[in-house]
Amino acid sequence: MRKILIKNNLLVFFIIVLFISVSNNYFLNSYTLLKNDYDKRMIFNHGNCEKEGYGFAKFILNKYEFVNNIDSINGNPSTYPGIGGLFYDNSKIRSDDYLLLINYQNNVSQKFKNYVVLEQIQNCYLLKKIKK
Amino acid sequence: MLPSKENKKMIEIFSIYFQLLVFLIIFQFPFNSKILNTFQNIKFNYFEVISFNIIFHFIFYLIISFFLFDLKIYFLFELSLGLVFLIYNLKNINFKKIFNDNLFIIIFFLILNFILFTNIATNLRLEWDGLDHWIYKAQIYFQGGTFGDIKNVEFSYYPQLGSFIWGYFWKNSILEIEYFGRLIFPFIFLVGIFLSTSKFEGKNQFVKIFLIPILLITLCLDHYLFGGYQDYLLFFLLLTFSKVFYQFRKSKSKFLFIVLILNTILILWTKQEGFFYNIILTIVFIFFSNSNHKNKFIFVSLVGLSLLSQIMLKNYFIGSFNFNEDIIHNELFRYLNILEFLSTFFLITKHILISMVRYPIWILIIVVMTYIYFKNKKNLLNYSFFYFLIFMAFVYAIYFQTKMDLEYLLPITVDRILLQGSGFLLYPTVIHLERIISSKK
Repeated sequence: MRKILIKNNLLVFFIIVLFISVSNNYFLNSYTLLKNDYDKRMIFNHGNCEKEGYGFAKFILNKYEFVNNIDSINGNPSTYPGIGGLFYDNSKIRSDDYLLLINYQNNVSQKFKNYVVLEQIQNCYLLKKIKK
Repeated sequence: MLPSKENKKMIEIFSIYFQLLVFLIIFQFPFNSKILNTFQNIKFNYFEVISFNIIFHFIFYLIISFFLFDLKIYFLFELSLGLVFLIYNLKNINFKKIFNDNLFIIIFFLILNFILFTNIATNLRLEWDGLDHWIYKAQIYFQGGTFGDIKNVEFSYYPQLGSFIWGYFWKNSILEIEYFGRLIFPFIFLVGIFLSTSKFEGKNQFVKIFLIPILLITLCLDHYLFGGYQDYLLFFLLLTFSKVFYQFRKSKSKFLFIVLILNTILILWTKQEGFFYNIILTIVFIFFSNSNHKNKFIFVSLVGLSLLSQIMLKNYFIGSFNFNEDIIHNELFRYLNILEFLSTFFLITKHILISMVRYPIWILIIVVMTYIYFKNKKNLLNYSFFYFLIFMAFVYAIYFQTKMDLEYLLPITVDRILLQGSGFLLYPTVIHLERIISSKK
């Protein structure tokens, strides 16, 4: 009788665990982890040249070795925060010599008259300050 | 030879599960049930012991967050001690008995951790506050900075404990990827849930041990808050305080008194609201601890000292101590107009009610407490009702005090404040729920 009770509890326990796992996408998430590496998942979650623009920011920061921390401006600031935190370097100071624009729909040259466009991918820009 | 892409993914998945093992090794020392039983008459179960160990470790994390410390060396030291204690525990504690008695619960706890860890790993997204300011502090600690470096980032006056813990476990993960640091938050959330439900006895064990934790997790869980927010840390600390306070009222144990003090210190350094939670918890302690005047005096003094220390440390390291805005300002006078007062009151109330639907743990809290109140007034844990009143007064005070546009501020903040604060009420609610279930055969 006791063995039947233990078996029944085990079965119910297993069913509960299975149900919770499926409803919380455990198996789907595990599959996603197997399919997509960290960078792919970051771009999916934080965007390439949309959302926070992680992909574009990573491309720029890998290409240019900035001496300082640079600012980023998102074209949709009420929806997405700046991406700078993911690339913040504690040993560097902040500088406005360069500027990252993410998903920026407005006229760049009009809004940033002191800057020149160094890189552009779709609506994402790297601007460099014109030194007088 | 560099690992291939496929191997890297396997290493990442292995690292996620390994991170759970790291947490379990670290947080099973210095206390175990045998050591604690030597000093107390109370028997502590597995989740209570883990919670005390988490509090103990977090206090040390708080201390070292002020200084220049090689976090890798400290981590290796912690891990080594953890392994030594593990061997000691295996030899001296009847783990076989613990396992036999709690096998299903522990396996259930581990599986839930796996589920939440893989969820964070897949949906790596850092949400607004996480990306806007908390990650800067976590980055500072990840890169070997100190508390003083925080003055160079936005919101430098926000406390740093959660960010330190994030940066610490990020630094000490196998792959040093950011989200590994955030895995500590679902871990302590689940420890809190199981802490509140682990001491059930008597009839209907299956319902109590499995269905109540599932119910609580369903009502409290919000994956959004694992995106860099500190609210689950505060939730855990308030929940632990509530449970330890309940036990302290009965036992007057000196150990539990110390845990309560350490808990209030950790709450203080988690979020700005911690300053006011310290005041609320002190008031609850004074009126409901069933303690002598000496204990109350010591508690108040230590909390007061802790608050003063925060002001001094922030002034010294950051250069100032302040909140988001001045507490007293001229715009408060507009509430002398009764219409203005009432319209603000109803606006805040409306958003509180909406937030209770967002986090339905509040619906459970209110339903259970109302039921107990009408069923048997003597059974209502008065300190929980008192806390509820003070906490709600605190929530209203925050929004009456602010100069910011409430139509903008309320929808994005009040729900999280309610979730944090529900941590304290969770344990009394669970006790009453258990009694209700036990009384129905």
